[in-house]
Amino acid sequence: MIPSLFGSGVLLAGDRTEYRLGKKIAEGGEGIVYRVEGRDDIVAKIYREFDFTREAKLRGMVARATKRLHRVSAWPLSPLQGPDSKTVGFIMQRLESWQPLHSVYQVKHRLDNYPNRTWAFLVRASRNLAVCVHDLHEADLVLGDVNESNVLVDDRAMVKIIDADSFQIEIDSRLYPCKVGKSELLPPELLGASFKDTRRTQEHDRFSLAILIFQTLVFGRHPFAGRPKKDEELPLEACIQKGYYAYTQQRDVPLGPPPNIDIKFLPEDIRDLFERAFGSDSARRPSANEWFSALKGLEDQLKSCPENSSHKHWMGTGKCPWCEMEERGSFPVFRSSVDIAELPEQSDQLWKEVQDARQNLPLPDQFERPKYQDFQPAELSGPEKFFGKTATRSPIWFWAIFLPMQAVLRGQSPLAASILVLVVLALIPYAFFQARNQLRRRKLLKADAALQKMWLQYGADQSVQTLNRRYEELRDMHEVLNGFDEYVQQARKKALETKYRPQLESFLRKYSLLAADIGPYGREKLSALYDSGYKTAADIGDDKLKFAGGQSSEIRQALMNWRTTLESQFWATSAYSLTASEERQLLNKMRKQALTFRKALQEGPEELRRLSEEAEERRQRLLASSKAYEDELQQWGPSVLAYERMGRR
Amino acid sequence: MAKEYAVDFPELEPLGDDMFLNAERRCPVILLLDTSASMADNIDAVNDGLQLLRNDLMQDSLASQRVEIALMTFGPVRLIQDFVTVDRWLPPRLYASGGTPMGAALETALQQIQIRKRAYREAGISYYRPWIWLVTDGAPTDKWHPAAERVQTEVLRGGIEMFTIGTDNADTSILSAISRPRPPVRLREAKYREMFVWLSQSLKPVSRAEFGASLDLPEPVGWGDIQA
Repeated sequence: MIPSLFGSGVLLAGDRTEYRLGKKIAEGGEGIVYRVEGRDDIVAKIYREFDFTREAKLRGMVARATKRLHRVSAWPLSPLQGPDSKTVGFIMQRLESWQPLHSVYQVKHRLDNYPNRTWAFLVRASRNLAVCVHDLHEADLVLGDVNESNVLVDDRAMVKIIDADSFQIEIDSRLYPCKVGKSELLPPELLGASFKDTRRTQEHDRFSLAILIFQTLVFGRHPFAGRPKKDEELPLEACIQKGYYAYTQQRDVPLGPPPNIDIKFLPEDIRDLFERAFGSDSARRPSANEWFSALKGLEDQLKSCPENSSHKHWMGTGKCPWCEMEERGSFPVFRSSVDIAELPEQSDQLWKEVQDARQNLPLPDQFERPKYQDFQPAELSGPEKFFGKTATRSPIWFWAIFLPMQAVLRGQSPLAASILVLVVLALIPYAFFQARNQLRRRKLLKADAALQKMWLQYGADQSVQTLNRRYEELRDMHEVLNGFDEYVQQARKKALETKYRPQLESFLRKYSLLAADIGPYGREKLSALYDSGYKTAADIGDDKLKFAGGQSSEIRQALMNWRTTLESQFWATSAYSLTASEERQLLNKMRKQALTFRKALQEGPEELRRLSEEAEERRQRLLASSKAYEDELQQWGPSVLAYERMGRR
Repeated sequence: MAKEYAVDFPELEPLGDDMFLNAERRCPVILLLDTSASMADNIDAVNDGLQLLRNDLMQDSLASQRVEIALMTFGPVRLIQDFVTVDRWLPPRLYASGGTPMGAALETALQQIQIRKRAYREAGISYYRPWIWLVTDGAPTDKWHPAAERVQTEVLRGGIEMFTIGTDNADTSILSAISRPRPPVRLREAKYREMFVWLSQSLKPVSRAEFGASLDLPEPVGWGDIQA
């Protein structure tokens, strides 16, 4: 039976007891790691392929176990056997919350997942890695395949090495070789060699150890990966083979360090160790113990940057090297920790006083221009009513004059003539009333227009509007002070967007418009837009698309959504941050603003009172000058209104 | 005709954040996908496949930081999406239309790989041999011989890994001439999803020991047949 056919649920025999495989946790090159049902402390590793030498190796290892070995590695606890008694895997300690070394040293990963880790953490992890290798070497083991995935680190920078079953070990004078290796970490003498016939040595391990320490201390950079001095391809393995250590100060190599990385932040003794480790003489590679001493020495010489307390660095550099990197235009490699000095006090009390002040002030904006339309119409006298009413019914007047006139003209009736005379006589009072009303109306409208003009001037007057506007401003300030945290965050977001605009743009430029996900609208629309110059997501913007004639709002919206999705993908890392000095600048600005706001609120009641007094003065002046017109309104308003109403009826 | 394809992305780029924040060794992969009109029925499967590729690679944290995907389509030749490491990748949506100018597509892919490799070198980032993953369902509609020769030169020099996958109507002899010595794979029954899962599985060892020296890829079981 092929061991890799064992999966979850299978029961396997250990030394003393049986274990049932649980969920698959991880998959490696050689085997698959499962949980063990009912056990939180152990896991089972099951090999993909059967190898008859494994049983003796595992049994020998279990017999050789010491406390020390268990401390520094996931040493096998018990072999596992299938139904046919063949060894298919083994039991080892479970290391649940431990992370592989690459997620510790890779900048973006660290900033996203462990933002509080400083360089001191990385130094301690390197030092502990050296201890692990030292202890294993002391036990006459060769790790063989030590790499960034099988070195695990916990939250306190403790280190443990997994895949112990692949170590090279001698049991009863028989050598069990290590059959694996990762080319990026192998010393030059092993590159291209077959692992089956090669006896691995501790010197080989020392080379890999130095690479891992370098990567941990130098932001994930591989010591043999650099910028070629000429534009030529230098594969990593070739560089290792030829000893092209990119940071060497002692030899002439065709490649130099990557931009913005200068390892002068390491003390000289450590740089020397790297020169020895990556030089041509394999016998001079530093031992794990030497690394331990040097790194321990470095720890005693660490200090905090006064600008940014999360910048821990070797005190031998003049300036803080992490600040210098940031100044040279690189991204912040550590989170900037700036003390947010006390948030501004809550402004509830201050605001309440402003409100009270406002409430107790007369409200000048609430008195309105007197309008005659609001008056009670006057009660008209009988004749006025009679003639007024009849006057509106012009057909009666027409017939009353027209018919008698006809009769008179035909000379038919003296009666008709006398009626005509009566009617014409009746017209006299009517004309009088009409003329009087017109006169009054003119006077009234004149007064009304004058008042309207005065009120308009008054309304536009600064002191009234300022009072109201100021009150609103004070309310806004109060709201800012009360939600100051959020206000600062918004300002920070804006600052970040400005700072990282070029990076965002270049990310958006990677995505062609032709593959925009715009739902059902399809490729023809996209092609048309593409041909008119909208090539990538970076060309999509609210204002930009307006000029793309003939695009429906649905398509515009779909494109905007697409861009927004890409933008969120870009911002989905906390690696884009402000440096300590930028952060401090921002906070200072915010704090100054908070002080100004507080002061304004404190002075608010007094200011409002002053503004109100000014407004009141204006009001009095207005009332004084409008008095004459208002009287006129009073005088003529009711009767004119009565006539208006009558006309409408 | 010769200048029918165009690269829309500027060659000169400022030092990217992606290379600073993530110094892992890169494995650039260009997916060179035929999106000619005859692909219309299968384009959804291809789009699903891209999502599967992403989701599967995301399971391996180291691989997701090492593998970089770029997408090119031909019909006409376009760089649909420039290189992005899988951990920051949003697979684009492809649409089908146009002819099958495979020669021009290969030329552009080689050009893009040169540009990307130069960017790596600028940033001091090491890389594995780039992959070109060509999928087509028809015969080229342009002169493909010069491009195939250039690809062969690169393959022999150890500059790229060339993979060709053809569906039923694809001309196997042409694919074979492009991807030598690796034989082309014939895609069964439009099993694009399975194909992308296989691609992911083949890329995952980028995070493990012994990747790159000699690619020992699994058999395309379940989705394709090797065309010897």
